[in-house]
Amino acid sequence: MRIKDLEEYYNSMLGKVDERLKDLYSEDDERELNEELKKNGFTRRDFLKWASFMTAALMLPPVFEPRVAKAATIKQRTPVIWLHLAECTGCSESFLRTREPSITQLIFNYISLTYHDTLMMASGERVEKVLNTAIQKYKGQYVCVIEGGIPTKDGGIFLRIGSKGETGLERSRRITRYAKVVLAFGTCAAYGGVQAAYPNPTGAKGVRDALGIEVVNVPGCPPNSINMVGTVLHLLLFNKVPPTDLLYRPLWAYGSRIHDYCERRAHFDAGEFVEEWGDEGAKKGWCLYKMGCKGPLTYNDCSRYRFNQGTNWPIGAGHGCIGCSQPDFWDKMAPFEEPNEKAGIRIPGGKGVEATSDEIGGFLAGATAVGIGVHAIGSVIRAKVEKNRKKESE
Amino acid sequence: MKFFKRKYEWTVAIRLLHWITFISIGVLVFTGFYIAWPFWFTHTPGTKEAYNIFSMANVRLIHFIAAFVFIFAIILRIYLAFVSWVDADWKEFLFRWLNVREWIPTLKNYLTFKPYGVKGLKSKYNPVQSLAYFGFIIFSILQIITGLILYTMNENSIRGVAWVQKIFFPITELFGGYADVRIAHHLIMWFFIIFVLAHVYMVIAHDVGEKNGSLSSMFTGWKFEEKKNK
Repeated sequence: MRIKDLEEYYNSMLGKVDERLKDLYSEDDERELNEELKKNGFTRRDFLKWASFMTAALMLPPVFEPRVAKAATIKQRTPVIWLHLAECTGCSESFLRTREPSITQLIFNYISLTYHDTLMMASGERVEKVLNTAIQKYKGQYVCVIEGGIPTKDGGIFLRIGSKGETGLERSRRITRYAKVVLAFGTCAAYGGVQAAYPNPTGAKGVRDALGIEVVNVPGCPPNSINMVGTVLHLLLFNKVPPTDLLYRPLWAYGSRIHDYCERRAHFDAGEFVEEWGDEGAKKGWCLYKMGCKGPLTYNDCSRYRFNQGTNWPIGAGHGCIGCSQPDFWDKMAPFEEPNEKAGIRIPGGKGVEATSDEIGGFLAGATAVGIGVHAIGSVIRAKVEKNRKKESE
Repeated sequence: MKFFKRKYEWTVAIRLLHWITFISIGVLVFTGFYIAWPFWFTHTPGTKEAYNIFSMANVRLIHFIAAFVFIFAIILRIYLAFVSWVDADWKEFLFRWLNVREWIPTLKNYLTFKPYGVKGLKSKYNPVQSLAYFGFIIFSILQIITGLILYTMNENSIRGVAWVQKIFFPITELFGGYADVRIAHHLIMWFFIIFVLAHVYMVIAHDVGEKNGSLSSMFTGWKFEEKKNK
């Protein structure tokens, strides 16, 4: 899609968005949010700055800025059911635990988080009751956020949740059935993550592969909170998921490569590389390509928006990107502190023995050279022998 | 005394393409190693500023130019193999190596260090050559595809998915993602190194063993054949 087409597409939706906002927006809600913001030390100006930032981040035309601000104040918003499957809860942790809450988080806390395994007080039977009533009440309206992969081997018995010991497979199938949109939050939910890494004993898969349903992936280990809130805001504004790329990730967040927007890119082009941790180049902020940065292979927006309220991000802190938003990154991007050319290729039938591409190629080239040598010596000897035989016969 | 007759073996177009491919492979392998592990044009920190040098970007530019030269050389060579007026040799590439009967004497000759060429072959290539060149074409196509996938990685943007990426996406998935495409590209490069090694040796060996001038034939176009009777 060209930028002109994208602008036309969004401008054509303007009328629908206005109608939608007229239904959902109320002044009381806005007043309430303003008070909430004031309590946390944000001014109206901060909020509007945030709204224009989100508009730009979502690739919306500038006319949408007041509408994004309006949509953020809507209280009667999409209910969210947040499931935890096979994972480390790191995505929720990184999302919720910051020194001071940002506007992004305030807005997110403000939405009706109907069900969240680790945040709610209730436990045991009562949890199931809450969940079931929520599903019944918001049938076909709620957003199901899934965090974590789904073990599928042996009927998914490797993951059991809740008082009834439901397997993760059954549980996610039951809850996603009536969801309006399913968001796979984090690399585990999107592609299986660490438990799907070799040899993957539990047969863990991403939500899309395990259940075979339409999913919007928001991968990352952990993903940026902006990616999540932006996707939810887009849902609120347009009542549909944002345009996605070929791996079903929102295009506005995962459309560009880390490498292309990296602050150290100039050093890459200049051939200035960190050779060793803590060397002179590392102090000068040179490119981390030789230290195994996988930014050239990774699509994400870290280099544009950074993490933790724009404080910093991995490459800014001096370690290379590990490619956490790409499928199967634990296997494909390893070793994390060596460039891709040092990656081991598992030799088929070698019982997990690995060799780098240069080792394999070098070995084969060496074998060829030995073959050439043997053949050359053999030919010379044979030619001499034949010459002698000729002389003798003469 | 032996007598030789001249035989026109390579057309001008094929000779030209051969050397263009040769040069581009040399450049591509060298610059490819540099891109995988930048070993050259490094300087002590503090002596130069980033705006004074542009080595990685220049090496990548040379790699891309050589890559497009290589792509068009391969496309032209395949085109010539099918529609050349003088020497349409697509059957040589595709089917000659499937001929089991020719494999036996050829391998026998090579393995017993006999003076090379197998007498009585009607074709331009013996089956070993035919298989090697067929493999060369296949690996060239694979290398071009993996190279284009990596080359177009930055075509994508937040505005939309580039059409080239849409086309190559199934192939990328087949390899298992961009990291594996990158490794495959590196691994296939070793085929070309091994191919050049073996190819150059074989040409020299045939030239010496058969005295048919196969080394110079790629420059002049003429090979020599032994004349039976004066």
